[in-house]
Amino acid sequence: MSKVIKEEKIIKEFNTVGKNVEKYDGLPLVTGQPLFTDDIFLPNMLYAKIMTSPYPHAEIVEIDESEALKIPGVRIVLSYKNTPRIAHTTAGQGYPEPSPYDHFMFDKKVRFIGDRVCAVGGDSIEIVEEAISKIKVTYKELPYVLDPEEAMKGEVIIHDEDDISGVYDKNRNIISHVEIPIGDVENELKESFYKIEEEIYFTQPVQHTPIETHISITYFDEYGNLIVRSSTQVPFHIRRILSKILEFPMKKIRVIKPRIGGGFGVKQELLIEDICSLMTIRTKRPVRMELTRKEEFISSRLRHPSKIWIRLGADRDGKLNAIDMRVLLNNGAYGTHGPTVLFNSGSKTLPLYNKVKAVRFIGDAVYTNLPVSGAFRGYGATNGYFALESAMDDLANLMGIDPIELRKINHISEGETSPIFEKLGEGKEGITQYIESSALSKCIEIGKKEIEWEKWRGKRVRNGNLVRGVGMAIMMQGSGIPLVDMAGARAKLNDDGTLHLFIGATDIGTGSDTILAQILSEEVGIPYEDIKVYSSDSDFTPFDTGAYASSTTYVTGGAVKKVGNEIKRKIISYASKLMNENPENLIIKERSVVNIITGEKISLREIGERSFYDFEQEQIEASASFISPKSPPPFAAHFVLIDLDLETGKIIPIKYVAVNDIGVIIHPNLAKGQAIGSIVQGLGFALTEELIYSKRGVMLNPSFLDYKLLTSVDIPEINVKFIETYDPTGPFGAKSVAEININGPAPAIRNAVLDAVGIKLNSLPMTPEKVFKAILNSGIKI
Amino acid sequence: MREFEYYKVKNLKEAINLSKKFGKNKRFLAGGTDLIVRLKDNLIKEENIIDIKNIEELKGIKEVEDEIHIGSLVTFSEIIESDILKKYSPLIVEASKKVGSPQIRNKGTIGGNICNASPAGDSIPPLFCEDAKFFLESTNGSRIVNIEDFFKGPGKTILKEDEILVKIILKKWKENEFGFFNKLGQRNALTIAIASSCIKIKKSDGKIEDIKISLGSVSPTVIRAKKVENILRGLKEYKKDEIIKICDEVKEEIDPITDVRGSREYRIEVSKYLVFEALNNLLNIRG
Ligand SMILES: Cc1cc2nc3c(=O)[nH]c(=O)nc-3n(C[C@H](O)[C@H](O)[C@H](O)COP(=O)(O)OP(=O)(O)OC[C@H]3O[C@@H](n4cnc5c(N)ncnc54)[C@H](O)[C@@H]3O)c2cc1C
Repeated sequence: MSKVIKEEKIIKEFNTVGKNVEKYDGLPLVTGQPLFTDDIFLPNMLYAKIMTSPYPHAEIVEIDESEALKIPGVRIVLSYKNTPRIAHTTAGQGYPEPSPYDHFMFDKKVRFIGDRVCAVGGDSIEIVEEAISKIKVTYKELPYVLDPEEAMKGEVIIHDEDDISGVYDKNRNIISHVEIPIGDVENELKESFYKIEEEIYFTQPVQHTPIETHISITYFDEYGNLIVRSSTQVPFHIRRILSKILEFPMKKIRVIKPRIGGGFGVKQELLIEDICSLMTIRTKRPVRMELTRKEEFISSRLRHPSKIWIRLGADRDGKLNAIDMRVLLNNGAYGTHGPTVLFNSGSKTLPLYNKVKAVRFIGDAVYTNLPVSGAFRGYGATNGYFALESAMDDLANLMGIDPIELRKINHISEGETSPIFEKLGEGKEGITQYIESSALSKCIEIGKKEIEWEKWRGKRVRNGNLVRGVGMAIMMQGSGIPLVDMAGARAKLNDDGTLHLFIGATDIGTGSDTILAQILSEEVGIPYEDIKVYSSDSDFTPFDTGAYASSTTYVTGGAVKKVGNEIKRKIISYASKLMNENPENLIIKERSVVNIITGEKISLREIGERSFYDFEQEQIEASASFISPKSPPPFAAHFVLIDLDLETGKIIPIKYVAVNDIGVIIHPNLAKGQAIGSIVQGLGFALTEELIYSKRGVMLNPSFLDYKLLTSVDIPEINVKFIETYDPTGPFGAKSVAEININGPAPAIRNAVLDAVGIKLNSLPMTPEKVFKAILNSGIKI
Repeated sequence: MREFEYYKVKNLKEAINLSKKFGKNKRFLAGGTDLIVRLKDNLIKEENIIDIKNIEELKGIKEVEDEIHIGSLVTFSEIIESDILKKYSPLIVEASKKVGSPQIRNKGTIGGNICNASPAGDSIPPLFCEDAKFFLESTNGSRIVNIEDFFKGPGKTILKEDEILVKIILKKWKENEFGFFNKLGQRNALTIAIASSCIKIKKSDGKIEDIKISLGSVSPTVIRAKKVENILRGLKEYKKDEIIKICDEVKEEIDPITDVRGSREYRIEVSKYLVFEALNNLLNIRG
């Protein structure tokens, strides 16, 4: 029995929730069962590949595929010449999508090096590659622009098509613009005793690097249904977008998501399914496409590179008077996720300091002729926090106070709200929210102790070429998108007394199948082992928006809890007739319905069996949906101890402490895995990961040799701690854990360097070279 | 990947005869950790691949009087585990530990590292400090060349068309010899050096009797920093400021490029400190 304790009182006790039950797919995964998209082989399967643009911006004058079609085994070439032209967004978001409709399956124009030109399907990948080398494309090169500030001048127009929509200002390449003033920022700044005049922060393009790149296999079943087996986070959005852009009846499309080798946001996107599907429709053959690692880097999606300006004003005792934040996102050639990532860089960060008198958020998401940015764990908040939490340390530095104290004075607490919640939503206005659970203050205290803050802070302990520093950052995220994300769940009772759970939710390695079964088990009162989970099949499971926005535990969990309650009521109601007892006196316990007065019981097996075969026959089942007006934020405080090597500029993380309030924890090991995974990804973002472009926009390091992910020997001791709170709106008090922890490493390390040597590193990643240059410029004695 | 002919040979003679036959149009395959990557990227023009992995004459680490002979097929993992090398030539052991990952160290060979002739090859700086000699064999017989004469530029060596590297010859360390290898990468494993430095010192009565300094990734080939060596040779007093100043001279001896791993400027500046840090580990430097 696990317990949730608040102020020394036990507030909840659970049977399954809070236990490290065996991961639902753990055994088949570790024994190498054929669970993934690519683990099937279909006879007559075609292999597909996309031919991509060698120019950053060009018109396609002519595509001559005649030589390619002569090669034996080449079956189909798709291009703008023979595909429907229907504007859409590749973003897998709720409908209508906040992203602009600026993408076509194939277009007459290419907008970055790596953009789609045409696609070939053939009997083997070698044949297809040869075919691509034989396709002659004549381009008319156009001027291009890689820098978003240049792009906003409008000298080069990247999207001039008449048939696109949802773009804020095509003539200046602005996808989305926002300007939210709350109070009088200029005046508050003027009146402030302490001011951070203007600090500018830069974040770099990085990739999600899932172990499994994008892969889809499409085929027709015996009834002429198009089956799309795909590595996706959003099967229902894929079905909807496919039906629209292929002009193919939705009824005949079935999207199946098998096990997934990682997503992190890059699979919240329709990237290859359309091509495979259309090839299957045209050739009637199964079609397989898998991106190579290089294609995954260049032609899938990235985290938005950004430039962020921050101004802060505070009075003598550290109370914030003004936060002025301006964000410029480089969206690359298409606007997918542009408006929402832009809004989130403010909406997920600014409410953290809700006591401020005036806030302003100005933002632009801009087209350039670079590879495309999209959804990435953290979703704008990661960029925003690097800037905001760095600026907070700059302010504390200026005031000469402990940065922890500055945060304590200003951060949001339980029962409070922020005007930002209402002003900034998903590319539009948001929804007012009060914080119903927060242990942020406690997280800060515990982390401070764990990292030995007092021992290291400000001491600049030097050991030869190494100087030690300690830094921290605090953060929040959300749990789903309020009044947008909806999830359905269905459950049925079998004649052996077990339950089947059907959910549209998409387990992309997160463990959501496991924790959703735990929630059902807890609610109904049957063992976790008695639940079988079916998920992510657009024909057989109910709708779910998908795996993004830290939503599954909270939103789908909410639906599962409701369905559990409903089926429990139905089981008891059925049993009450069998037992001739008032349902109020019956509970489900030890695989039986038990009369709490007499102790009489009847097993779930008997109930299941009799409901099928002899007594008031019916299928006992239930379905439910969940949508919330809230998105309760999880909170975290991160601390890092580093050594800085003055002779090389190398930052060596020594110890990392992350203290989380994610509500009630459903599965401690899985939650910890999410936290550690986020931190490792965040450390790579902070220290080494960066995609580098030539002056023409050629990506120079699209490989694992030259794109530096951290390896196991680069990662410090990571200590994750949870302070449980109970959020009254979440299933059994749960909030979310998927994204929040990626926001901490960059500002915490940056602030540790500030502590160690007084240098402000405002541009990511903090590579040895950059740090070394800053050390030389600062005149510090090496 | 383009098509090629694959030959697996059983002995040295067969390898040399085949390579004579194909001339320029062939490549030897040892561990394949360089070659296969390049094959997959279509960077190899040669149409014949001669797999030398089964040639016994190229294997093993042997003590021969005051020398150690390392077969060209010896892998980094074998080097790291070799008691002979740990005892008599520890620098090459230290450098080998810094190569790639366990998988790369299990497959990658010292001969491949040398013949690939990258300025970033991690085994090469220590071999410069050891004044290594390379035993080569061709249809014209064998010859021994000094390491300093072997490399001609990135990817370029003096190896003739039908010539193969058989073994590397090192002198055993004496008692008063010490060394340090220092590799700077973007991360701690699976990383190609931004710059590296290697130092071997012979000390007597607290004095630097002899010193050899080599640097990787900062010139078209691995180089020796002989000017700095000359200034340091004979030194008895080790003051930090003075030593750093001497290390600064290394700038005159290197000629790095800018690439995705680091800029020329950074490589120039950081080389000085890599040399200093190596010295710092070997000498009792004060203040
Ligand atoms: C992921 C990865 C990480 C790496 N990390 C490092 C690193 O940290 N440090 C480092 O130095 N290197 C690194 N490398 C490069 C490579 O592993 C080494 O250079 C290795 O020593 C090559 O040896 P091999 O046996 O695999 O050579 P092969 O690939 O088999 O051959 C390399 C070249 O040498 C020639 N050749 C091989 N043996 C002979 C011979 N006996 N005579 C004549 N010619 C010969 C071949 O024809 C070929 O041109 C890395 C490579 C990869 C893929």
